[in-house]
Amino acid sequence: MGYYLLKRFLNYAILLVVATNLSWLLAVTQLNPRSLYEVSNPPIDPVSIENNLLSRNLSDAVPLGERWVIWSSSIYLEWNWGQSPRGGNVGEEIGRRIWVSVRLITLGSLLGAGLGVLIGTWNARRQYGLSDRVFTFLALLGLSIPSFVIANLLQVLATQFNDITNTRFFEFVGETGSHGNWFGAQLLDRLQHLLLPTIALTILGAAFFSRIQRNVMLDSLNSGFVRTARAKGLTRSQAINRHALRVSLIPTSTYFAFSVATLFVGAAFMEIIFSFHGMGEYAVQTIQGHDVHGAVATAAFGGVCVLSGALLADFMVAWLDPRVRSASSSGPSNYG
Amino acid sequence: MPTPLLEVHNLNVRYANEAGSLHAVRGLSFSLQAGETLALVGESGSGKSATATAIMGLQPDSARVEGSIRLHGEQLVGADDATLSLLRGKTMAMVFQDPLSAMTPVYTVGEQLMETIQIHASGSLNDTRAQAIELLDLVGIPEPHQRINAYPHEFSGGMRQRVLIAMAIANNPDVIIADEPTTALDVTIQAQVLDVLQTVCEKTNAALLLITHDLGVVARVADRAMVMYAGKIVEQGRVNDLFYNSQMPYTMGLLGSLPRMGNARTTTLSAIKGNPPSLLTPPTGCAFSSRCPMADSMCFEHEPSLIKVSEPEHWSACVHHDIIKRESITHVDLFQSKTIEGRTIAPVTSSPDKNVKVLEMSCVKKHYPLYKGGVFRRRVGTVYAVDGIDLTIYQGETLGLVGESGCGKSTTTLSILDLKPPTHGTISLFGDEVRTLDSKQRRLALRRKLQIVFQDPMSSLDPRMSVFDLIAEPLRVFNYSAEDMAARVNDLLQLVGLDASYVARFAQQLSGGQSQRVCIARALALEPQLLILDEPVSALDVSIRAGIVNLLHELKLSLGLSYLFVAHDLALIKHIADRVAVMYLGKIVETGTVDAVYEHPRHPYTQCLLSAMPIADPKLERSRVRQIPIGELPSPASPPKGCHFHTRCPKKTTLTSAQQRLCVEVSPDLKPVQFLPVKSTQELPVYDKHLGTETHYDRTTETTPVHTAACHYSQ
Amino acid sequence: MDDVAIKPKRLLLKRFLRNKTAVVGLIIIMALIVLALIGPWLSPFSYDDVDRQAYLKPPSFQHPMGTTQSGRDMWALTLHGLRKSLVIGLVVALLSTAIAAVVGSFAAYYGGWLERFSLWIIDLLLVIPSFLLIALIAGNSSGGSSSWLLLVLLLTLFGWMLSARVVRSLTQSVRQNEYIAAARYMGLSGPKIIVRHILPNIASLLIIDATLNVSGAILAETSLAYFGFGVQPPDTSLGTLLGDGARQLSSFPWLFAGPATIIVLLILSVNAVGDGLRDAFDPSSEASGKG
Repeated sequence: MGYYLLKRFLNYAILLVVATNLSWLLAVTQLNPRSLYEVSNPPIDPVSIENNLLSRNLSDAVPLGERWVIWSSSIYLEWNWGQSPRGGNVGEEIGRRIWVSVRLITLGSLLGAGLGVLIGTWNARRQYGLSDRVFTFLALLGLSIPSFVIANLLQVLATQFNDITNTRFFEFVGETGSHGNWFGAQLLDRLQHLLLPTIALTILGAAFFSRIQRNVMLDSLNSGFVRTARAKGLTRSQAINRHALRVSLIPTSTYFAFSVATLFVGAAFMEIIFSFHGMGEYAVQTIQGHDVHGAVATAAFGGVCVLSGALLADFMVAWLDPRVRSASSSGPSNYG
Repeated sequence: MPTPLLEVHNLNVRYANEAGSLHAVRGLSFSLQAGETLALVGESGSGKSATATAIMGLQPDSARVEGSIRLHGEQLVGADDATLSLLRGKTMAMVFQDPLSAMTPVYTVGEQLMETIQIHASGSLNDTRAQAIELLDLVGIPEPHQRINAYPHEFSGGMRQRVLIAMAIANNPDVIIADEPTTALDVTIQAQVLDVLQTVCEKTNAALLLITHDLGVVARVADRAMVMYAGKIVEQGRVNDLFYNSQMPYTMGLLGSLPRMGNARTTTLSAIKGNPPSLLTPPTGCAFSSRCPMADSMCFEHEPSLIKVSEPEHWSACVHHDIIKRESITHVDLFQSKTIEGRTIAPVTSSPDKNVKVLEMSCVKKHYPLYKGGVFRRRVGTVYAVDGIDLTIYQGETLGLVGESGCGKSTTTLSILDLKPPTHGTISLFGDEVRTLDSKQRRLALRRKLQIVFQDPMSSLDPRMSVFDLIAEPLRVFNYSAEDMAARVNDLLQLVGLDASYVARFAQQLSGGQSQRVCIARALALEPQLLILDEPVSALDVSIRAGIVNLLHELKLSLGLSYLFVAHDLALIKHIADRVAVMYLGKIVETGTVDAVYEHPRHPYTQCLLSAMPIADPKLERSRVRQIPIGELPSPASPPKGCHFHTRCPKKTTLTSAQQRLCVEVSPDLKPVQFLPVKSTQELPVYDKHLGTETHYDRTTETTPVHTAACHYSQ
Repeated sequence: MDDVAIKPKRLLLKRFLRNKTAVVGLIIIMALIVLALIGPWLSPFSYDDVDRQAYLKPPSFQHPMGTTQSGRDMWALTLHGLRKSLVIGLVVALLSTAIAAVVGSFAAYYGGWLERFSLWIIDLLLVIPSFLLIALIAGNSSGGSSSWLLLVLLLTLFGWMLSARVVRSLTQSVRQNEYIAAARYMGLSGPKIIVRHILPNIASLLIIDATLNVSGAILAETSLAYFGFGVQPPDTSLGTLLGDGARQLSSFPWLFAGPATIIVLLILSVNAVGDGLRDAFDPSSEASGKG
């Protein structure tokens, strides 16, 4: 087992290295950090621009290969992902921002998936009923609206709510604001700021997961083991709750594992609209700000997220499904 | 007569689907007494499973059930789910056909069995567990203490079916409904499971409603039987009356269409023409009239109802029941014909030309890597799918290859068709060794001479293609012109007994029998010399099979084909093959002429296969002494050392421990048990059962073995 | 006999028509396509005209959807953006589905190193955060009238992998059918078997996938455009308009409302049609191509 896990990690490492190097090549050729200094007013002395860029390994005067050696060796030897054009260590920035993203997405994605599973299960049991049709349409609608449109609309609605009630119930700038000094005030303040992005993420998650759960649930509702369970004397509802639901959660959980991991960079809209200074916002800022090292590091981080998601999904299946734990297969594996 | 346990009266089941309303069960009435076994026999679509689910109240939501079903006098039709679930699993229980999908994959066998007990009784966890272990022991699960913690997928098909039976009897129900409980199983396992089912029914005095298409199973276990056709019962009665004195032409046809072990091979099977009617538009007359040789205008006018034809309880639904009874009409009068598809059959057995070998396999091994783990897939071993076999097929000969699933039959056929060198050994086709095929042209030239017909005709026809394109496809590969192609397709359709108008149809619109005819036509398109028939009729309904078997038989004679006929049905092989090879775990354990092997099986495995096979003859079936192999087929990844069969061999148990050592340690080779003079190959010896076979060969002349067996103690 | 032959298609149509949401969706798509095609004749202004009398004006008789900060007519811009978004969606969907079909089916049919190599490439492209890379290249390209072509290429390059995986697993299940083995034993070559037997039998999936890829591509372009990485001015797409409008949503809602309505309508309709097709092809939601 250990050997095979090792082999798999090795493959992942190779994938990551290749992906990161490709990203570096693209970033170096596409981004132009020099332009940041050149537009500055009053103009900066070209020599000092060059010195600035050189000190951060960003000068296009240095041959590509040389820059690559410096960039990669500092990663491998010192775990230093480089500096942004304006200074500032990329690694430290990311280390801080990851936790912002974690705080942003945890609650929303859990609620979204939970609600989605509930709605999907409910609807599958009443296929083609009124609530099924309504929720199926709503889920379709939720998936059809660009997420920033949902976030923006929520923001408008929240503003109106605040105006009408003359409160500041919804907070939507940043993670924290001014708050009282009493016990729990800080927590409440944070929750208030989280409220809107969490609602947005919940809507999106519920739309996505209700569709998935409905489909897998329909499959498992019609399977032989539900009939057997009923033949043993369980009522329809008991058979569904004890047998069909349990089996249907296997594929849904793998989707969940995968989607949470990718949400780290995927929540960029929420971060920008609600001013959370997380990874998604950073990804956009690095590109807009010609930050070669920042962009590459974000890309690498994104890759890690995808791979962890895949690994997590596989572990999830292995944990939930006894068939996968011990599956064996044989036979001619290729044709032609 | 005591009040029946279960009484069904005028049951009607309709399914709503896209095409309309399907009237699956049409006015069914029967009753079941305590302790009796009643069989419900029918082909697919006859409504037998719909009947079972309706009784259990487990019909799909789209079904409408009308009529009356009384269990202990209590009306079940219209009862709500809560009421029925008090009865299900307690008073009536069901065993389903597919034991894998019938169990929840994520719970252990024990959890599922204990749940069954706990639903209806409150007991401590330990008591329930002890009870579950006892049940597993009762149905013959070895080491129930450990196996109770296993998941369903860790069990073999036969073991899963035993667990399902254990679930069904957990609460001592009065009625057990078994829906094709052994259809998915191999014959030896089927025999074991039927034993278990009979034993538990006797022990609990439960009544058994057995739903099956297999008349051999009916003959073996049932007291009474009902024959269902197109949603109605067409004949019912005691098993002996039904089998020996059939009164309804459909029953006669079904029984007559079965190849019999005792019959001479020259006779054709009784084939029922046509297909069962669609129940979307219920027939106006007798549902069988369009296929019945006796049908006249009266039959098309109104549907006959059941009439008592003889005492005590033999009923038949036929307009002409009086003529049938008066003139003692049997299937031979109605269905036995000397013609197939309008052509006269040459009433000869084949006479293979023993100078020309179309196929010669020697010492062929085919091994596959075995992988384990869904997530962390890795190679854990080797499957010895084919482990050193020798096979020869002469021109014009049919070689039957028999064995249970997993024995390596399919790998054998595929390794021939692949035209690639096997892992070990040589395969020669028409004199060419496969290893020497160096060019694409030579390989393609060989392809033409070798074709295959698969088991499942639905899966072997591309559903998006018309019949014309399907049959023309091999012709396209060999660049036939458009006119030649059209003419050839026409000829082929005629050859397999299909109307020329079928060219425009799509595979989806054909019945099973028609599809298989198209498959045969396609296989014959390039005029092959060797046809590999991989279970060509086992996916078809009983009444369709005989027609296909007759067709294959006739084609072989008229076109001079050679067949490699792979099947698990021993009676069918006896009917169609010249020689037979019995395969077990990648090895041939016995081979010889059909008569020699069937009359004098020398290998214990062959003896087990023959004795496990159900025969549609109640008296014979019940009086037989069975020799059933012990346990299950070992994995071909770790075959037992020595003789592969020694772990299951009933003969080994009769040997002394010194003798047994040989079985365990040394793998036996195929040894001749009988010789045939080479000179007389042109005429096959005629065996006489009463005289025995010994007199027909002469050891003094140069000989080739005609009957060999791989057993240390076969003599 | 002829009507028997077309029955499967008719059944498909019947099933699709039964799904009212999908039918309405199809009608809306048709209407939007017509609107996009005749767009230039529906407004006195071209999308790049500047009305110096009307900067950031709310809807009026002359400008039914108002004007932008630079005095361009929102109605003309929306119609132009719709056309561009439709073209991007259709081209990307067609190209990426085609790549997916080829890679997925060949990988699954031949197996071996070809399959491993294809899967590795797929994994690699999935590991690279496509959004970032597209943004990198598209956001820093020189712009100009052909910038949308670059965007189409990039969206295609990073848009086929998931479909290819599905095609691969479906091919694996279709390959199990005996008609594939029969074709091999008839002497048909691998590519011919793929083209004649495998692709037609997964066509339903490809059609559904292509449909859903249309909405996926439009959404992806919209997301990129929100950050300014989409179609570059003076050219415009619904995404570009939406991205610009969202930033000033509370003060100048007309910049947002029009494009937002159109894009939601469009994507909702495409998704509804995709769902309808899935139900029609596959009422039991099982893999197709099985007899």
